[in-house]
Amino acid sequence: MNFMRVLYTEWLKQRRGLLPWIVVGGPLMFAGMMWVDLYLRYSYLSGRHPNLSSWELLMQEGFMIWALFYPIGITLIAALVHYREYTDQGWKHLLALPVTRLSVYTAKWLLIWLLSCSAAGLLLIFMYMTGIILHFSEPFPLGQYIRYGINLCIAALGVVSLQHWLSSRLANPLYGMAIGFSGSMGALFFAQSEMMRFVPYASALFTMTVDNEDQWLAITTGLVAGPLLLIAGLVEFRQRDIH
Amino acid sequence: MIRLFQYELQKMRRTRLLWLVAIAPLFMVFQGVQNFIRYRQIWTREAWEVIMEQTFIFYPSFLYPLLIAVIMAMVARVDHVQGGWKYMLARPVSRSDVYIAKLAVGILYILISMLAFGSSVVLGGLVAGAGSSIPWEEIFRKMAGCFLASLPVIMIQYEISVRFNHVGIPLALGIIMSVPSILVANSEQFWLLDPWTYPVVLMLGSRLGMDNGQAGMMNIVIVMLTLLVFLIGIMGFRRRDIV
Repeated sequence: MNFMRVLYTEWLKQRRGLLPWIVVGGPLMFAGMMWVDLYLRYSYLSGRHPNLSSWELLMQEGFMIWALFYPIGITLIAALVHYREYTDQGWKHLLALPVTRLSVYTAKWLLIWLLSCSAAGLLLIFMYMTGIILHFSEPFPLGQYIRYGINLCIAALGVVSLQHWLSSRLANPLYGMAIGFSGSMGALFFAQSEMMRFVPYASALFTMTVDNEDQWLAITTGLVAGPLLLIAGLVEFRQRDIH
Repeated sequence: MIRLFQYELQKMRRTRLLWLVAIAPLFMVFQGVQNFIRYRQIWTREAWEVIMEQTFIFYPSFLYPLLIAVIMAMVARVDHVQGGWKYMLARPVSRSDVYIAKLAVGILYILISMLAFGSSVVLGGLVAGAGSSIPWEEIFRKMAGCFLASLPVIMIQYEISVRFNHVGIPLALGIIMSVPSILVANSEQFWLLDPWTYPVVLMLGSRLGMDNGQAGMMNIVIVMLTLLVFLIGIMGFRRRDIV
């Protein structure tokens, strides 16, 4: 009960802020971009990939850019969720209340993850709308798109845990963001290396469900790194002195 | 004025931003050089040309605008926290000089970052064995073009960072505008409307068509927009109440 109330409080803090705009605006803008791209280049693209359906083409064309910007978006969400605590000594006020550090830390984590999942869910909806507006003739492959969405939510786990901890640790939100940006930039580089492809920032690159045999990479990294980093961050957070 | 510049530099020294702006571009270079080595057998063109193409490919559309956003946000944030503006502007300094000095420090950091990127491209090429005929002139020309073409973006990011004390706003803008830039840059007409694409067009210019009329138009837009945003910014800064 207490946990749910902390979570709800966290949401109330963000409701009127920049955050909802980012969660809705990011996928919306991305879908708009895909609409323009496919509107202008549909015949060229379908000529290049004759064996893909229109819906698969839409996913295939967009997944890379989305995969690069998804961890950046999560970074921004994590930074904004923590931003408030560092202004006006929010941490002190918050932790002086009768709440456990465990519930505060996990509530913030859950909020970041839920917002990341909402962005992924909205992405699917907006992509569906893009296809409808473009009059795709094939039926919508619901299962394939939902699997893509689930993959994205799982891939987000690792980045969420990592950025959540960084943002909670670094008083200047720009540091956490700068690390997140650099990690996301490195994603393409990480993804090509045998060992480094398990770095959470690269996970989203393996989420696509069109001719992709590497989906297990996103799922494994998310399910292992997510909880592990969450627990590690939590242990550190509980022992930390709040200045 | 020069002393103000030195003060600003001192403020920034403690932020450790320099490490970030120097290290972040290395990812791009690693990845580009790695691509070059991996597909060495299939490249038929001159080695340095491939190195440049592979390392530059995501720089102007992705890393560079985000670095500008982070650097400018940091320059402004130093004074947004703990009432910095009030302390500084209570001193006998001209507001225009403050505005220009901070901008100059931001630009200096951007140039340092570009220098780090350029030299690591050269170093990466040498390590990968691309030969000793380093195309200094072309690398310099592309980097200089990229910088000059980004002046409007630099001004916009700086102004937004100074005007809003919420650090999320300039960063969200930077992210949102850099997402579509590589796609918009591929369009024949629309790219002229989006200043974020100018560095992309100039840096990857050989692969994207641009006629003389468009180039002239772009130059005019760059000069006009840079001056306009700068003037609006500095006038606003002189008049604004600092609360």
